[in-house]
Amino acid sequence: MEAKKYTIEELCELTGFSRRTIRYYVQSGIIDAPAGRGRGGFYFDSHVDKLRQIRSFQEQGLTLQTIQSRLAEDKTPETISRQGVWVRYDVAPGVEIHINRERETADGRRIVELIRTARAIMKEEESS
Amino acid sequence: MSDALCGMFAGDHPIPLTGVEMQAQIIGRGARVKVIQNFLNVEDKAIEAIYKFPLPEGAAICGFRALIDDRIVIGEIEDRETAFALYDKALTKGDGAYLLDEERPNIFTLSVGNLPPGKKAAIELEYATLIETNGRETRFFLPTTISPRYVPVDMPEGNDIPLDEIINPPFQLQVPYGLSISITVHGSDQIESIQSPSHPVNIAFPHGEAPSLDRNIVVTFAGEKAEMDRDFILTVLYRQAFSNRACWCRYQDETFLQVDLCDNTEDKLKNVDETTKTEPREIVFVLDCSGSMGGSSIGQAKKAIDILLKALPQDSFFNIYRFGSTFEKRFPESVPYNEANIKAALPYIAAIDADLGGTGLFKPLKDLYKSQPVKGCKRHIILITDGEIGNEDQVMKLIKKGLGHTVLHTVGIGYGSNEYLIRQAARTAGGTCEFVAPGERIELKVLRMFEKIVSCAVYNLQVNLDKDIDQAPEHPFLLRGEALTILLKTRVDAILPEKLTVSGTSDKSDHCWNIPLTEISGKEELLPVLWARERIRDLEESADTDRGSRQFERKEGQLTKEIIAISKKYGVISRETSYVAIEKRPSAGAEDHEIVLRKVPVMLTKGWGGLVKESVQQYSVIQSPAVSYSLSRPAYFRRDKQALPIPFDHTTSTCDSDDSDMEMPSFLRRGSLRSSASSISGTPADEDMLTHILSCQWSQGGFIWTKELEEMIGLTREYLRAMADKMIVTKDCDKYLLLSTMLIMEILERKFAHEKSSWLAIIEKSHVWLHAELRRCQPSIDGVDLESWIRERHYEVK
Repeated sequence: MEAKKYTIEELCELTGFSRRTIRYYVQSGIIDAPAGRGRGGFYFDSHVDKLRQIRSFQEQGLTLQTIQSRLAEDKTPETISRQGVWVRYDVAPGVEIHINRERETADGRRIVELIRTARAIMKEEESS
Repeated sequence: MSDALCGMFAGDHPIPLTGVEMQAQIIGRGARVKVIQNFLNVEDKAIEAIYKFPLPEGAAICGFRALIDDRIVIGEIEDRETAFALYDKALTKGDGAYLLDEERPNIFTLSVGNLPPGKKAAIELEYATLIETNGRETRFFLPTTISPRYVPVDMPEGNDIPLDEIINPPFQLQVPYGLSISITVHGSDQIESIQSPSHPVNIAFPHGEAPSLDRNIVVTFAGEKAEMDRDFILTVLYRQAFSNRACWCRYQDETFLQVDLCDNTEDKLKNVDETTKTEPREIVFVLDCSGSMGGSSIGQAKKAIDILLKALPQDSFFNIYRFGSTFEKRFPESVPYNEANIKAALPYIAAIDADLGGTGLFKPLKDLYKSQPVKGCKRHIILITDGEIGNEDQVMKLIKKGLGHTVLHTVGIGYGSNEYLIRQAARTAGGTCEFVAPGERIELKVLRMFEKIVSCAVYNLQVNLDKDIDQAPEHPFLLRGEALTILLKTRVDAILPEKLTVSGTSDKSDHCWNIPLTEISGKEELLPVLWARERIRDLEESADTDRGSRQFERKEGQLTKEIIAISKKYGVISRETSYVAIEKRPSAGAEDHEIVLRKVPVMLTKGWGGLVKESVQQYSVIQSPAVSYSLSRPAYFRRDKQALPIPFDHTTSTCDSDDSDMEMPSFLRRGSLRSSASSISGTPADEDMLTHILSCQWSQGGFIWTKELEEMIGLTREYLRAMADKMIVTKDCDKYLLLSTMLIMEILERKFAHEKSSWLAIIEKSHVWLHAELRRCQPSIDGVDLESWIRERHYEVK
């Protein structure tokens, strides 16, 4: 099966990190550079997983420096069981969507669409 | 020596920034400044240059453009993330892109994206700013480098990117690029003198013209360019103090007003003082003893505390904190002001050294703010620091908790103190602030502060106009002797009165100013920009107050929207918005573009951490004579029989060219550059004498004649004792103390009249004591009352 490819916009949607932050993580070697030359390259599930791990560590109050050393200790994120893993998406202040990791992997595009739509709805409400 | 060692390289690649130019127009209390940063890519691949640099915290940045070859690309303001996305997408496509982000009100990040091999780019920023004013003097300021900011290890990381990475650029001891300046100061006939305490400068009139209202003065560096390792400071002394004024203009669909309250010295706030001077105070000195305070800074700061401690009113309470990575305090809590406690404090001050590591400002302040002030007292904290911290928000939040019972005053010290922290902390806590560059005396500035501290502030200043007024700052306050500007926005069809009324309240009375309102002609575009900057600052500070609370999340969204809207409408950058300029390239998209990241290192602030302590002293004396340029001589400089020419046709002014001053007896020379340089080499100067005299005050009132005074004034203690023995008094008293105090008062009045604002509040205790004793004991010598006897004797110094 062909590996899934994500643009940087999709990676932002999926992980909740800003474009600026993802560029910074790439520049400082915290996550791998995208495939291909330059900035236009694609990202893969391994990027998504790594960024989610970072988010999870951040929620535990770890600094980026500590996270970086933890990530270096564990170079095989694929070993983490995907069963029973739920992924949290921030939609708006006070609103989250939780999706099972397996379901997300199987239905990635539609999930991205779901999150995008949910965020758009919440944004409309806020501005109205 | 290899290039790498000379600082031409950052790591193993060349530094793409080749130089910075600053062009400024100074008109009275306002300045319009253009900063040009020149880049050149000498590598064989495209680069993305990231340059973090400082600007004054009050700068309203209202223009950003990039010049590449013969093309000019104008920047637009977008919200921060949109701007980055536009920038990033442009780079992805192979276009050129230029991005300016605000990290702190005084720290900015410039990204020069996709600079092809061999290409140059010039980035221009424009800003408008109001210049700090104290009486007749304005102080124009341009920081040139960011000092390494101390980020505590236990600092929570609020963002996805570590704070250290956001505010601290890479540092080097040397960099290949430098700064050049060209400053035009308008209205030469209004100006008495211009000087730069930070750099050797040339000061010229174009074509040797005579001073007049429409003639300008041009200031440039004495050398072609200067190293970017310290703040540039230019002080302009005007012939007259600035007066209160109010002006207005219509711009597009709105009306803007500016109100300057400058004339609030002497009698203006006198009534306030009289009602409040009896209010007891708790004074806490907080002294930065981090490594970055090494060198002469710490010695002068200690001297200032010594003088202030002796000058405190009898009913005060006091304490002394010192901090670095850790902190300590002299007393567990503030103690009453008495002889025993002062005796316990003075050796402690004397033993202080800059040996406590990093600038850990938060912990001592937290310790102070967790307790209430001594009952019945208002607490005043005097914080002396270079302020090189990264956790400003944390400190501000703490300070806000003490509003109402604690006032914080700040003194920023060093070649490159954190202007944002120093100003913002004082502004937030209702206090005053001063900046002291090396070569300037800390003591005199701190003494000048003291008068403001013991005077009373007027709060809640409001300009009284009809409805629909948007005032910034929303809740300004005014301290005695300080200048304040209030900016307002209203409807385009607002009916304006001939005179504006500004009102405010102090603890015990109301205050009101009536100021004639005039229309501005020309430069109308500056008022909206200055208003927008102040309004954005108000909104940002209001957001910081509630950060972390549940209510905040809701409020933050609204505030952010408002900041973005104002920022975009008036073209002024904010922390929520960035400037982005996209340069479309015909070749874009033709191939995969690989761009390498090049972070531009900045030069380590001179003297930072005591690293180059020795060379600082040498430089001050030999290479960097501070420059004073007098356009005419104040009365106290003049000698009766010698008229001094006005040197208006000189193109260069250095210490040596200002030789007329050298003819004065050392005692009469006002301490400017020369005396500050000489004080470093150990020769007693006027300022040394003044600060020594003030340090001779006895805590109970009166001045003690010391051995040093014997040498400085030329009168021995034996002689004084003999004269005291001749004194006849009607009541028992300390005749010797009475005589020495009377003498000191006379010397201060006669020789230091021009520095009166520095010492008047300091000697008040002794002044009151002396006059009470004179009334009580009626002292006389040789049948003449003591006061007349001393005046008749005309004692002269050596």
